[in-house]
Amino acid sequence: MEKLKDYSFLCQPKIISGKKSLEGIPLELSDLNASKPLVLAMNNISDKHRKTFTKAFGDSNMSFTLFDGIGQYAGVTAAREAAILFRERGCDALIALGDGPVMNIAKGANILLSMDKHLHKLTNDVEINQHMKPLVYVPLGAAMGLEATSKADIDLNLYDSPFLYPDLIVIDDRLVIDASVEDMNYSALMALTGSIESSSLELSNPMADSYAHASLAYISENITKGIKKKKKNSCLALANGAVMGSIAYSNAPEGIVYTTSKAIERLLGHSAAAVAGLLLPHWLELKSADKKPVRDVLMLALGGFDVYSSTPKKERPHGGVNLLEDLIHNMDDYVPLDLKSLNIPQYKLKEIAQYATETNSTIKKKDILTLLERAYDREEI
Amino acid sequence: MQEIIGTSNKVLEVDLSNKSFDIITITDKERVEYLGGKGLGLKLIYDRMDAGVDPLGEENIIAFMGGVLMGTGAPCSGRFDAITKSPLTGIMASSSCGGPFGMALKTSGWDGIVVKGVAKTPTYLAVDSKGVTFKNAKTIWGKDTQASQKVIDKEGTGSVVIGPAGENLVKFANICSGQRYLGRGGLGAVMGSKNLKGIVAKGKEFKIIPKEKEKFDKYKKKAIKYINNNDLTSEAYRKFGTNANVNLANAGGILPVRNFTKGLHGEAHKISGETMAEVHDTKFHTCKPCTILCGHKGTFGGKMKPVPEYETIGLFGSNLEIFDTEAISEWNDICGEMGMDTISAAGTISWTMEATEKGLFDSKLKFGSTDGISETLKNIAKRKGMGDDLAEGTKRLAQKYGGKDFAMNVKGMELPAYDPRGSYGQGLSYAVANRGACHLTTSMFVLEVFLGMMQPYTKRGKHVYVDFGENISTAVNSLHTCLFTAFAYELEPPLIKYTPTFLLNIMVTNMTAVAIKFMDISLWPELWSTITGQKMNTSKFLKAGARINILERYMNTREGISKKDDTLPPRLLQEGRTFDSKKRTVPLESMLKKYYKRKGYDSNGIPKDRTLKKYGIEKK
Amino acid sequence: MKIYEEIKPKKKPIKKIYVAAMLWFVGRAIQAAAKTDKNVKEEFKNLRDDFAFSLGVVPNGPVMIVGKTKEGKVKYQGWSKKGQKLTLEMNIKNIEAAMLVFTFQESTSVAFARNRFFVTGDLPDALAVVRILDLVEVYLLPKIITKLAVKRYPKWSELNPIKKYVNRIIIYVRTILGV
Repeated sequence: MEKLKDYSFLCQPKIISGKKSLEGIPLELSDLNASKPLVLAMNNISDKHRKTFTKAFGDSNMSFTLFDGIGQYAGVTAAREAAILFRERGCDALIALGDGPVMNIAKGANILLSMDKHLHKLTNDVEINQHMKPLVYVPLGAAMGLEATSKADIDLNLYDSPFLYPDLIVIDDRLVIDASVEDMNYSALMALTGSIESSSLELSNPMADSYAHASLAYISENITKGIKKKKKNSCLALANGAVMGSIAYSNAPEGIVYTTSKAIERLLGHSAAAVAGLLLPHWLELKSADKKPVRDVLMLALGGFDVYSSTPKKERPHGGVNLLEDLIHNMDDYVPLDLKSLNIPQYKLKEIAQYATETNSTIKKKDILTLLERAYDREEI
Repeated sequence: MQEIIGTSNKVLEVDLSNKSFDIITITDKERVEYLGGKGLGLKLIYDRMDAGVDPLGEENIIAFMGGVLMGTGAPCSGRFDAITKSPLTGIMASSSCGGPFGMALKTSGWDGIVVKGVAKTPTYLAVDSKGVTFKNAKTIWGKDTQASQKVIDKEGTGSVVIGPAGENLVKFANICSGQRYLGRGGLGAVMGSKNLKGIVAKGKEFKIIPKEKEKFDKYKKKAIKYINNNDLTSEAYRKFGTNANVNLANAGGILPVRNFTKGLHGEAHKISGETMAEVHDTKFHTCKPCTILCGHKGTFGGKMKPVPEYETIGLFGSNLEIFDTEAISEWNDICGEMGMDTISAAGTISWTMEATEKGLFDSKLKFGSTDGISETLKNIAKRKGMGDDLAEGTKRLAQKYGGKDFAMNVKGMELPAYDPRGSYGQGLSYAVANRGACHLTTSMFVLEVFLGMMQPYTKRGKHVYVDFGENISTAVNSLHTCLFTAFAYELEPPLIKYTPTFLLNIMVTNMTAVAIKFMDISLWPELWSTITGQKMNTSKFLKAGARINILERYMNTREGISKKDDTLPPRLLQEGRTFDSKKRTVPLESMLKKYYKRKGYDSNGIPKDRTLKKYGIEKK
Repeated sequence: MKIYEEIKPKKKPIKKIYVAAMLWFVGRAIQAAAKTDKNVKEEFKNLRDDFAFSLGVVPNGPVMIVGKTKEGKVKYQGWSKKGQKLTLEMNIKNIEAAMLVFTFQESTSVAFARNRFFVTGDLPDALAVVRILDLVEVYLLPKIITKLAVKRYPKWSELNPIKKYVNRIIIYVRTILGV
C-alpha cells in the first residue's frame, strides 16, 4: 500500500441495490420522517418505468405526486415549477426517478425549497448551509456523473455542497436494464472519467480510491455483457459502477478531462461523455510523458489481479493505459476518433480552453490547450 | 448607356490583403444550377473557402450578389443578398436587403462582388465598370451608417456600409444600404474584421435588358396583376406595412410577449400597423422597384422616419412589454445608425431583463420600462461596460451567466417575433433553418395562423411543407426577388384563389405532398428564364432551391452542425404560454425525424452521400 | 401550470392473502414442531419464559404471532398484535420482500443479509427464530424447495429420512387441526 496521507472523505447516501429494491423506498422514507414524496421524472418516461415504480409503492399507505415535466435541459424554470408543486401538494420528500437533468432539477428544487422561501432565485452565490428535504435518487442506467455527488448542474451553474448529496440511492435491476445503448455507453464513460481522474490526482485518498477501483472493475467486467447482451446483473453492475465512480469523483477536485469535455458540451453541444472518452487516454499519455506517474492501480482495477501480478512493476502504468484504451475501444461507436472528426474548427480550441479555465480556475489554460491539440487530429500524432 | 442582355455573368473577386481584384466568369451550368443571388454567392464561397475558418479571420469570404432579376424592372426585384460565415453562429449565413447598392452594382456591370482577406487600414471600395479602387476610410471610420453613406455616396448611386457596431465586431452587427439593412447573422462584424468600412458602386453605366423581352413583359404584367389582386400584398401590407402582422399574431397567440412567456397581450393593438398608420401618419418608403410597397415612413418625435418593421415592433415592443411606438422608433434609429440587427439586439435585451429578474445578471433593465434601453444599445455598439457582454448575443451570454432556458436563439441566432408554440410548423422551421432561427426560410406562421391554410397544433404534413418552403425561399432569394411576392404568386393562381379556405386547410394539412403539387409557382422561373434566355421550369427551379439549401446545410455540417443543434430553446420545448391552459409546447422530435428523411439526411441530420450526388454537390 | 397527477398505488390483496396464508401455516407449524421435534423444543427451551415474537409485513400486515404460554407451551397466537406483549418483532420491509421469502426465491437468512428484515428486540432471539424457521421448513417442504429456503439442509446423520417423513406427517396433521 502507498503511504497514508491526511484526507477527508464523505459518502452521505445509503445505497440499496438489487432485486426489489424499489419496494424498500416507502419504509426508508418513513425513517426519514417523510410520507408524501414528489417524484420527478422526464417528460418521456416510459409506461413500463411508470408502472414498475407505481407498483413498488403498492400496499405502502403512501401516495405520491408525479412531476413528469422535465426535458433534456436542467433549467431554473423546471426546478421552480417542481418546488411550487411540492409546496402546493404538501410534499415532504423528493424522489428523482431518472438521471442527469432529473436529478439536477430535484437538487435545484431542493435548494429553492430549503434556501429561498420565495422560490425565486437560483443563483450560484446561494449558500447551501443546512439540511434539506429528504432526497432519493433512483437511477435508470443513464447516469451522467453528478447524481450521487454533492454537486448539481443547473442552468450551467455548478452548485457544490455536502447537503446536496441524496439521502438514499436505490438501484433496481428492473429499471436500469432498459437504458438505451447510447446512454449506457455514455454513463460508463463518465464513470470511468470520474474514477480515473479522482484516483490519479495528487490529492486522492484511500476511501475515494476504493470506490474508484470498484467502479473501474465493475465497468470493465460488465461493459460488454451489459450493453451488448443486456444481462440484468451486468446492467445492475454498470449502474453500481456509475454510482461508485460519482462518489469517488465527489471527493476529489474536478479534473482537466471532465472540465474540458463539459466545456465542449456547453459551447458546441457535443456529448461530454463522448469527448471525455476521447480525451482520457490522451491525458494519461501526457501524464506519462511528463513523468508524472500514472498509478499502477489502474491496471489492477481494469485488468484484475492476475494480469496485474504477471506484469512487471515498471510496465504497469503503461499497461493500465493500454487496458483503458482497449476498454474505450469497445465503445468505439460512441467515442469520436479525434476532435477534428466532430468538425470542431481549430480556431475554436482557444475559446474552449478559455471557457474551461473560467469554469475551473484550478486548471491552466496552457494544459487544456495541449490536451486539445493532442486530441485534435489522430493522424498528426 | 451600354446594355447588358440578360445578365453580365461577371463577378468581382477582391483581395483586401493584396489590394487586388480579379473577375470571375459565371458559367451557364453554374447559372442554371445556382440561379444567382444567394445560391451563386454560396457556391462561389464554397469553391474558395475551406471549412473551419474563423468568421472574423482573414480567410472568411463575404459575397454581395445582385441576382438576375435586378435591374430588369421585374416587380420587387430591388433586393440583393450578402453571404458569408457568421460570427454569431459560426455557420453560413445570408441576408437580403432592398437598399440601393444592388442596383448600383448591377448597373455597373457586375452580378456580384466577393471579398476576402484583411485590409491593413480602414478601407472602402469604389466599384465601377472598370473594376475596384481601394480607398482610405480613416475619415469615416467611427461614423454611423447614415453619416458614412453621405460621404461615400458621392462616388456612386448606392453603397453598403457598416456602423460602429460592425467596427467593434458586435456579433449581430449588420450592413446598411440606404435605409435598409442586411440584418441577420452579424455580417457587419465580418466587414469590420476586414477593416472594410463600405463599398460604393457607381451604377447607371448599363441598362439591363431581358433576353426575351416580349415574353418577359407578359410575365411581368401577370406578376403585377397578382400582386395588386392579393389581399396581403395590395391591402394589408400596402396600407399598414409588415406591422399588419401584430393584430394577426396577437389573435393567433403567437405574438412574443415578455421574452416569449406569453403569446398575446391586451395592449398589442397600440403597436399594430393600423394604429401606427393613424397615429404617425405613415407614407410609402420602399425598395426600388417595388410593387407591394410594404415599407413606410411616418412622423415620430416630429421628424419623418422609417416605421420600424414588425420584427422590431414585436421584439422591442410586446416582447419587452413596451407599447410606446415613439420609444421603439428611437431604438430602431439607434440600431440603424450603429448598424445592429434589431431582432438580435432586442432578443438580447429581453434575455438581460429576465436574467436580471432572476438574479443571474446585474443590470437596471426591466420589463415594461423604457429606462436604460437607448443607452444600452449604444453601449453594445461601442462594447462599453455591460454592452461588451451583450454584444456577444444570447447564446454566449447564457453560456457565461446561465439562463439558457430563456436564451431565445437557435444555433446562436435570436428568434424572430413569432412564437412557435402556436405554430408547430414554424417551430420545425426555426429548428432546421440553415442560418439559425429564421422566419423567412419557411414562413409557416403565415400558412398556419394568418391564412388558416394549415392547422397550427398538429405535426401532420409540417415536414413536407417546411422542405417545400425552404426550397422555394432559397430559390426566390437566388433570383433575387422579394419573398413577399410569394403571397401573390402562390395564392393568386385560380386553383388556390377559388378553393374555400377550409378545404385548403384540410388538403394542405392532411395531404401536404399532394397539395403542393397543385401549387402554381411558375411565375418565378418564367421571369428568370425570359431574362437569361436559359430554360428553367418549375421542377428545375425547385431542384435548384433544394440544391442550394442542401449545399448550405452540408457546409454547416462541416462546421459541426448536426441533430444536436436542430433544436429550440428549452422554454419552447418545456413550458407552455401562460394563457394556454393546455400548456402546449413544440413537439419537435417526431417532425424532425420525418424532415430528415424527406431531405435525404441521415438520422444525425447530415446530408447522405447519395443526396449530395443527386444534386451534383462535390464533397470537399 | 400543467396538472400533475397524484398517484395512489393500488393495494396487493392477492399477494397479501398468499403471505397471510403462509404465515398462518408456518405459525401453526411452529406450534406443532415445538411438540414434535426435539431441536425445535430445545431452541424454545433456551428462550425466556415470556418469549413471544411476531413475524409480519409492514406497514399493513399480514402478521403472525407465536409465543410461550404461562405453562411453557409454544402456541400460535393469531394475526393481531393488539394486546400482545411481544419480546421480538421481526418485520419484513414490504410485501414484495415477503413474497421473495415465501415463494422461496430467498432463504430467510439471505433475506436477512439483504436487509429485507428489520428487527425490534434481541438479536440472539432473532437468530434463534431464524433457526426454528429453517427447521420447520425442512418438515413442511420437499427437499428440492427447502434447499432454496434454508441456510443449510440437515445431513442424513442429523435427520434421517424416516424420522423426517414421520415427523412431517405429524406436524402437518397438528398444523391443520391446530393441536
